Amino acid sequence: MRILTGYPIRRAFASAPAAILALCLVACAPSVPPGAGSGGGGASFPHAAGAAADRPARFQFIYVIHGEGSYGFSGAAGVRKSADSEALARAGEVALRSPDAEVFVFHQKPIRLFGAFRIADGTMRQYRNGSLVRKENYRRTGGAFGLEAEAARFRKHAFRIRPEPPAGRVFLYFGHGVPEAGLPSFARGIGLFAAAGADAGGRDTKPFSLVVLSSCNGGIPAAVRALAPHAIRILASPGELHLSYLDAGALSRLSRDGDPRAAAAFPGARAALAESWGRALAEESFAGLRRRTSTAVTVALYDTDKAAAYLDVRRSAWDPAAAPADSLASAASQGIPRHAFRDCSENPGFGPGGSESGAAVFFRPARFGPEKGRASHSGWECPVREPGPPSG
Amino acid sequence: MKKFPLMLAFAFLAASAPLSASSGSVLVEERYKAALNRIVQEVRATPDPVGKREILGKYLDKMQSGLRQAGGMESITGPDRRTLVSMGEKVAAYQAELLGQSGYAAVADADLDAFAGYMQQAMEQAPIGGGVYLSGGAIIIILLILLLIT
Repeated sequence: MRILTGYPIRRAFASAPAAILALCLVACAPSVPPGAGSGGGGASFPHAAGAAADRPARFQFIYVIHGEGSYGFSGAAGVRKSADSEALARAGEVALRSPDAEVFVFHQKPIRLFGAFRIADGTMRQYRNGSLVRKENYRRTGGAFGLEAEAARFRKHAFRIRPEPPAGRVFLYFGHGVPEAGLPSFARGIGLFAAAGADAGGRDTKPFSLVVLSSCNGGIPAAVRALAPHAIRILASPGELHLSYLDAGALSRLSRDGDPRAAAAFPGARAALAESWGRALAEESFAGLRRRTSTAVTVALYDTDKAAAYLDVRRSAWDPAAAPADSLASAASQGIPRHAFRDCSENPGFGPGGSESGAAVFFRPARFGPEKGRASHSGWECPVREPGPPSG
Repeated sequence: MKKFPLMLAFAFLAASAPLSASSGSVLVEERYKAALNRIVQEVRATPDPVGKREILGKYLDKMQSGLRQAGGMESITGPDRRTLVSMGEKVAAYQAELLGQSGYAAVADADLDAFAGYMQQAMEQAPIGGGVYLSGGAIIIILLILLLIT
């Protein structure tokens, strides 16, 4: 309501159309968070919260939190929670506790007027060095899984002047699983962020140190292969993932504790950072999911170079476009529904997966059910396909 | 000017209609999850293992019944029907494990609360029928049936 301050409000709302228009303008307008202040911001960052927010950050975290759909789940003692709201709150905590990071949080949840009129598709929050400096609603483009609008805002608002590329850049996605049909669009969208990041630095062959896919079936060959060019490590769950999600809370601690010179100090430092951060997040996520759930927990950290090489020579074992007719399709005769998933090691020719495939696997079988005695997981799940042409 | 409220109402409906299918399925799915949560809380609040088994058994029977009804509807297409069959198989597996049938060891009395929580988490962590894999209309029909029986 900030932009209406000092305006004759009664007059503005004298007619319904004017009221609707006014509310639309309020809802769509960029807003400055309370307490963000206005001092210290240059022309590029008029809302920055003082000198700290103007200092280039060593790290960059980009959260995309999908919130349009059924995201309710039961927490401890049956308390109902909303997965996207929880993820949003946790992302905000990480951002506020990271004094050396620029953090973008995109919440892909429609904003409706009177609960019906869709006036925006999402909200962007931008934090710099522990301060919220910008919040604005936006319209999405690029389809259900496209990230064009988010990447455009990142390009517009991210720090362009840095003495060096950020020491670590992490992309995190929280939401339901991206179906195979949506993967090209999704990967292209992450590539847009990656390109924007590379522009800022110039030295980044893989602009993201780490991509975190906090969704069901993130660790499928098609997803990891599609994102491999953009990230040194990918953290994902190949199987189903409880809506309490992977835990990225350690990012604030990791970004505070690291050696400031580490990223640029020696060749391979970024890979070392990606590995250590990825492993820390994997271990904490696995521990938390073990504690909170009794369903199977599978968390895997993928070394993308190694994984891509492994997947490329076994493409016919997971990619229907490269597979001989019906070789991946035994599902219908077994009564398995379209788009069910199984451990890829059950696909002929896929091999054992695991460390050989660049996947560090953290696995705990379900406490009940047919696979409660299962000892291990390859770290990869593959869609079980029906005979005939792939449905995409 | 008297026509203005009518026009506004029409515009409201026109703008909101395209949203109703997806929003409706989300609302119904959330209602279903809440109903399932109540059952799990009921199991936890019941001190007697026999009572716990009765609540779980009744719920699973009703689920099977609802899924059969949904699967028999003409409007459910082939892929959706197969997904329903898969959901029914999952429910049958829960029933077998609860009772110690089909090669499963029966769930111990002391584990009934945990078993209820396991069922809930397994059903919650993926949207009903795998979410995007069921058509929106099918989700609404199925969930309405499931809501009626829970």
